[in-house]
Amino acid sequence: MDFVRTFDYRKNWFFPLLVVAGLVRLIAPQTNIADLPAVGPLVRPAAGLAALLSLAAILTIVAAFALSPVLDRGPAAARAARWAGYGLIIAFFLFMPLYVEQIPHASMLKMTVAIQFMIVIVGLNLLTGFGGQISLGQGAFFAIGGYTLAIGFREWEMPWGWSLLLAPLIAGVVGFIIGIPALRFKGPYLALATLSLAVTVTPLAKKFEHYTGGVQGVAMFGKLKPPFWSDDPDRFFYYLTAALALLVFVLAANIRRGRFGRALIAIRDNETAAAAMGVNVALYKMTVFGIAGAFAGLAGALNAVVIQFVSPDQYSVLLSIRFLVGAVIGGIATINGAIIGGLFQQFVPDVTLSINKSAPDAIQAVILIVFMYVMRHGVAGFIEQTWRYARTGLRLRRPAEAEGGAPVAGRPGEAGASQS
Amino acid sequence: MTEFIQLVLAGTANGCIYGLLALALVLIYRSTHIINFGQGEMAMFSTYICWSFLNAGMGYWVAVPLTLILAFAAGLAVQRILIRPVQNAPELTIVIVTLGLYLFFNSLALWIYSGVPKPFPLPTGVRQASWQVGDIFIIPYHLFIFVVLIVLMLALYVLFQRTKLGLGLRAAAAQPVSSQLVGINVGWMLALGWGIAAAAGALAGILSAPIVQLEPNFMATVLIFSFASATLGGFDSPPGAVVGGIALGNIVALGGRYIEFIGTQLDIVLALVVIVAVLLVRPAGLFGRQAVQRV
Repeated sequence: MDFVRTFDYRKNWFFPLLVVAGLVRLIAPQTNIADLPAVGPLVRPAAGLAALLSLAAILTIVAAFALSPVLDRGPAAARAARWAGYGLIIAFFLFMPLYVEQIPHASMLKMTVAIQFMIVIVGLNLLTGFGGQISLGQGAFFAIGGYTLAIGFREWEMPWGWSLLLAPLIAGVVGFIIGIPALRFKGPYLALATLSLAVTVTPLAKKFEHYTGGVQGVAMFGKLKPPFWSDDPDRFFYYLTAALALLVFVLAANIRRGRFGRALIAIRDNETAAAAMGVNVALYKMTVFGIAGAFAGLAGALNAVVIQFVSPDQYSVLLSIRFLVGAVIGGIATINGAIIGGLFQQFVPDVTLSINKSAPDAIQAVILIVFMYVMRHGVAGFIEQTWRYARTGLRLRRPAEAEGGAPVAGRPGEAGASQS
Repeated sequence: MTEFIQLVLAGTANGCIYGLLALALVLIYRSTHIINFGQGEMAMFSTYICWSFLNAGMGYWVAVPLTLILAFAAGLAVQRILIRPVQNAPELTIVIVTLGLYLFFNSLALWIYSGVPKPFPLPTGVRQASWQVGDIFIIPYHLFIFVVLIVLMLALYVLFQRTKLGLGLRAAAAQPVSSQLVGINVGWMLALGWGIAAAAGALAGILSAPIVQLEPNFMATVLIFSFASATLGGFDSPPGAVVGGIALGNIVALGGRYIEFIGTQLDIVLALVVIVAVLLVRPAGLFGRQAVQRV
């Protein structure tokens, strides 16, 4: 499973094309592709996405060059620059309520939901991106979270704060247990088994009508607000979600960096070798299933609070597939990619919905397939590669020239590509 | 007892459809080790194409072969254009591309044909009313499905075992590198496999459309059932897929009737149970070859 492969821009037509396309789009007079009868509405979101991507690429290159005097000062300066980057991202979300209305298509609730998607996707990134376990069943854990909150509220009259604690716990335990049969499955078989898990959620929820309210679902309690908060309750919930998301991201980043993450990557790359090195493969796999499940359960519970409603049809297979799409678009073997994945899942369907009711899925499918060919690391991987290219692209070429321009051995990036 | 036989008859008819789609999955898996998650939706879309032909006034026996030819061409094209570039990519990439196919065809059908269920006619020449033998009612269409499956299996048997092309297809699946060396065009053989699979899937969709109504999600559950069938029969055995399909059709029909808890709503859970049980107890399935991995 080496889908985290080095990706060489010099052999890739996509990057220069993107930059050129972005520049043409910026400079050329506004030719209205949107007015073309059939393709217009389809092309517009794709063109918008391409323009955004090329803008991101250009900004990354500019930042890499602008920051180079700082970054060349050594690891401490580089670390400071990285923390400044994280600070910018946190500030963006911290001050969101002030300017959210200015962003087209955005609102407080939509941002809250987008952050909830991020929580699911970060779990999926750990599970699939770093652990190598393909899961199409995250929607099932999302549903467990939602129903925990709904049932806790309706049957046991539990304060919702406790439900938010209980939901990830239950989903995590279920995930851990589901990890046991998953030990026997590999690759596409695991995708198959988890897909059928996702499919069974809706009929199961309809069956246990007594608890889940059947097809009608459970409608909930109205807005939640703690006594000390006198402001808008939506805003409180946004900050609560964002704080929990920050916690999840920090947790995930630490997991990824530490002993656990290295063991996961070892399992992904070669299970036999990892076992031979003394990694307890079964325990790690089950645990990462549990962690991903707990994250999805937490997000599901938060989502139920926002939507104020839980019904079986919310948790269809498509939901699970959408989570995976978000993870892949953001960059599945990254932590930060989840931010992009969550925003993508919230806003791209929203923007494309105006074309047709089923346009969002069609466009997502096309974007997904295109990404698999040109940007297998997702947007986060793309930005990271662009950054590295801007920082070291020229430096890499030097040894080859020094060797007297040996045409075969001198191509940088070749070694990385042929190893895989 | 009468009820039991009645259930078995209906279960077998449904099982034939699961078997057909499972056959499509197996044909692809055997040669390329890809599980095509988009298979069911490709079949669904082919069925819609067939419905459009029928709606335009074409006869059943013209529209169906035409659809199958189109499905074959589409399968071929999908393999050549979309799958070939990622053929040697990691599993996750291929799974995601086939999921992309799933999402694409599903939403495209919803877009073009809307979600309103459409009735699909029985084949001309097949009686609507059922025959009565003693206490048992036999629905002619069920018999028709069974006959179609038998004919298709025979045709595939002849193709794979008795023709040079079939030899090439089998060789490309078993030993791609060696086949390439003896002059078989492996790339085209794989594409042909996808074409045959797409046609078989389309047939499954067309056959099941009169039983359930035609709507964009009608193959989704069938796909899960045929995954279970293929797992049960063994993912690398075409006869196993069909036997597994018929077995699963009966498991679902009988389980839904005799296990109180399952009922008609939870039949999909039976598929999940079958998948997990088979993969745990005998991962290769009933007829599959045990995979041996070289470390």
